[in-house]
Order: sequence, then structure tokens, then C-alpha cells
Amino acid sequence: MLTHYRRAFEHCQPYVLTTQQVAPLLEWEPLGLDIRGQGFVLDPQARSNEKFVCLLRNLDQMSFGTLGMAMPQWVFYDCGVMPSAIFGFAGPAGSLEPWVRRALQVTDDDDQPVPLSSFIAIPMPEKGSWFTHTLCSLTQVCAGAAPEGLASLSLGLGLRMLKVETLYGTIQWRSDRMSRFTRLGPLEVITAYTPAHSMKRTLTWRLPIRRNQVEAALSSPGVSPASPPATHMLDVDDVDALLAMQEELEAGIGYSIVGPPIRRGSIVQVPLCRQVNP
Amino acid sequence: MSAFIQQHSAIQRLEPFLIAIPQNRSSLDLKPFGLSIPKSNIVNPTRLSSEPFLTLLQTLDARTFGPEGMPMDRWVFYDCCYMPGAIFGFGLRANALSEKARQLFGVPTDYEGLVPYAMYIAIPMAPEGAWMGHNLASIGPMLPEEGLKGLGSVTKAIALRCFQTERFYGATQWSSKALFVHSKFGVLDLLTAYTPAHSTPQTLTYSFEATERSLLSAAGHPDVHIERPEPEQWVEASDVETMIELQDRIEAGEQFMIPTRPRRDETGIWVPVCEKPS
Repeated sequence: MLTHYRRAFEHCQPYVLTTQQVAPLLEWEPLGLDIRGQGFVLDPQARSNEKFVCLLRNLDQMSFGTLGMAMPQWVFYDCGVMPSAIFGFAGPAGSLEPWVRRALQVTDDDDQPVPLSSFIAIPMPEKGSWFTHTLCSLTQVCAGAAPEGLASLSLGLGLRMLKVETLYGTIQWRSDRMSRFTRLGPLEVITAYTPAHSMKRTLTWRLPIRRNQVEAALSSPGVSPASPPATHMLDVDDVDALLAMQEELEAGIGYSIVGPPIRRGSIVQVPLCRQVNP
Repeated sequence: MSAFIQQHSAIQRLEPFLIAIPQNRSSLDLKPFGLSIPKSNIVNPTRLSSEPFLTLLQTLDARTFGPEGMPMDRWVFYDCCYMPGAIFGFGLRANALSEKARQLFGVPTDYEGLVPYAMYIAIPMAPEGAWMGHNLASIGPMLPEEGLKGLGSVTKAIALRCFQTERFYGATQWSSKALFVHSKFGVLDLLTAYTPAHSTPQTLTYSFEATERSLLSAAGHPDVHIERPEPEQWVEASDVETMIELQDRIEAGEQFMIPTRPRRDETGIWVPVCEKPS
């Protein structure tokens, strides 16, 4: 199923940033891809890898800075480097357009690989459960700057590499990144309105991960065959509806997001399945 | 041994609390050292009704870390603490607060719930039983008249038991006051001495085994003594050259420890270091 990503592999290499403590626990041939053979592995604590880590920070800044949610470097260390591993794809600096090099602060004499995507998940106390911390790709902010599909590929391979059984995450209701996750299956909604987050109109979700669903999402993106039919559509800008949904969730009613958002003009709707006895 | 913790002078007036999503609780010890956490003090951060308490928690963090420039945004609390990890701490009911404490926290006049005085945040790591320390905050130093001496140390000790930590990891600055607390847990393995992947490169990464003895030692149990090797060198907390030199030696395979607490004099803060026996 990775043949669809031939262009990505022609231009980029997978990378893993991992400490000595975490490295032995990873799956090094996720979906049959030999990471050590076809990519490269870096120790984020080694001084010699400072430049790569710095470029990764620039990628994060570009991806999330406009949302006011760029990751402080200490959070990257405490929540990414130490407990987990960082997985993604990198391309040679020389292959990047000059404007992309400027945006990423790659200097003219840089010839090392430049990270173009990254996926970080944090382990949770329940064995096999992980929380999505970051999924980003240069193409989401600079269309055409890197091969298409790097985010999906980073997510699919990263999930296998970390041996994720249940994935949690947060996302803003209006985010166009939601479909990356709905491809993998129905998202069980844990919060619909989240005052504890910087953006209250954030949802928290949970998703059991099955290998066949990851493979299906990589080879034929769209609505996951595992998703039930929608019972209704939610206008994600209707705060009262989000609050009502949150109150129902707290009362034990179940909700799942069963497909990607649908955008018509300035209206964004998300297909939901409401379950009275989840 | 549990009686010593339960009778610790710093927590006599205070109530324990725990913030954890329901999915994470089955992996936690809800009676650490026999200390009962009232059901009403086990907070689910995904519920709307938790917001006032979580806001006070953010105030505690800002009061503690604001001057060091590392207070956490709400999304960091949510994505990097509440969801993947847990927070254990102690607090006092609003109606028992002194006027000074009420002003420090900016407690709303109509708020009657718990006000957090100290908290410890950690997140699990990929290796089983390993946790990464994220944040230790105590209002104790700002309220010296309230008899809260040792509150930070005892909170961390009980939190590690609550999280069922077997191996603990942390990152802190060489000059941080927190190093005085961390070294109470025993001899610390030094994993990095200079850390460019962190916001502050003058950060060290340390680790220790979280045994009953190490936790009791940190809480100040008079009968628990930890054998500590003699320091071989003292690193001044602003001596970057020595930190880099140590880091290079670590990367070359040498192993070091911080055997005991730092000392402070008119020339600076000095952190003891010695080689780890092979």
C-alpha cells in the first residue's frame, strides 16, 4: 500500500529521533518499511544533532505558531524527546525551493536533511494508549513545498512504530486536519467543548487503532469502512450545540465523528453518530 | 512508614487531590501511602464543572514558574498533563484561606471549592513503570507563615507513589532551586549535562529509582539514610564550558551521578558530580 507514496520516498527519508531508553521498544519495520535501512536514526540528546532539532522547531513554529500553539522547546523535550520518539520524513536541504529554505531558516551552506513532517505521541498510563501531541507537515503551510501525503504517511507509520493500540487527541472543530484521523475510523468524542484548553471549541477524541484500518487509510483515503452511518450533521460554529453535546457526553450519551468535515461556503458540518447506550 | 507520610506537618491542614481522566485512573494508586483522596477531590479535567479548579491550578503554576519564564499555556496543561498524565497535589478549602493566600491566587469571592497549594505533574514514558517529571509547584515559599516547609518534597514523593513510578526521569536547570528537592530522592544518574534540545541548554537530565526508601528520604523520614558517594567535582551552575565537557564525556560512554544536594555560597550555586561506578 506504500506504492502510492513512491514520490515521497523518492524525495524524502524517514527519520526517528529517539533516546537510548526508548529505542529498544520501537517497531523498526512498521508496515514492512525498514526504518534503519531506508532512513536515519538520531539521538535527540546528542549535541551533534542540535541543528536537526532546531529545524524541527522551525517546522513546528510554522505549523502551529499562527494558532498561538507553537510548542515551547522545553515541552518538546519533556513531552516528546524523553517519554516517546519523534517520527517523520526529511528531505535534503538542497532540494528545497529558496523561499522554503528561508521560511525554515535553512542557511545556504546547510546540506543536511531537513525535517518536512513530524508525528509525536505521548504514552498514557493505560498500556497501548497514546496521546497525539503533534502531527504536522510542511505542505499544510507551504503547499507544494514537499511531496503530498507526508502527514498521513508519518501518522500511519508512526502509529505502527510506537505500537499504538488506542490513540487519543485534541483538535479544533474547524480544523481541516480532522480528516487525517477520521480516515482511520470513527472518533469517539470525549469532550465537545473544552474550557480547560486554550481554545474552548476544541474536541477530545479517542480511536482504537487496527492495523488493517491504518493500511486502508494509507491506500484508499476517504471515509473509513469501520464508521457507522451518521445520525446527524453538526454545525461546528454553533457554540450552543457544542455545549449541549458536552452536557450530553457528561450525562453518558455517546457521540462519534464518522467522517470528514463537509465545507459549504462558510458553513462547516461534521457527521456525527449519536448513541444513547454507548 | 505510611504513618510518617500521613502525619507530615506540611500536609496536616491540607486535602489531597488528584486530576486524572477516568481512563487513566485504573493504573494509579488512589491511596498512596494509605492517604485517602476524597472522591470529590478526584477531578475529571474533561468536565465543564472542573474549570474553576483548573484555572486556580494554572494560577499556582504561574505564581511558581512565572519568574523563571516557563509558565504553561492552557493547551499545554490539557495536551501534555491532563490527558496523558496525572496531577497529584494538596489544597485548602477557599473558606479556610488567609487573606494573603486569597489574594495570591485571585480566588473569586463566590468560589467555595479547593484551592491548590502544591502539585506534582508527571507523564508516563514508553518504558513500563517509567515516568517523566513535568512540573513541581508549591505555594509554600510565598506563604512562610503557614508552616508549609517541605510541602514540595512530600507532594512529589506521594505523587510518585500515586503514579506507581518505578523509574523516574526529570530535566532541570543546573541553577534551579528544584535540584535541592530532587536530590533528596537519592543519588541522581546524570543523563545529559548540556541539553540543546531543551529551551535552556544549561539543563541537565537526571534519573533515579523510585523506591520506598527514596520516597521516604525525600519526605524527610528521620530513619531513612541514603548512602551517597563523595563528590569528585563541583560544577558551578553557570559554567557552560564544564557542562559541555561533561556532556561530551557522557556521549562518549562515561557515566556520572549527582550524589548529593547542591551548595550555595557567595560565588554561586555548586552542583556535586561524581563518576558512576561501573
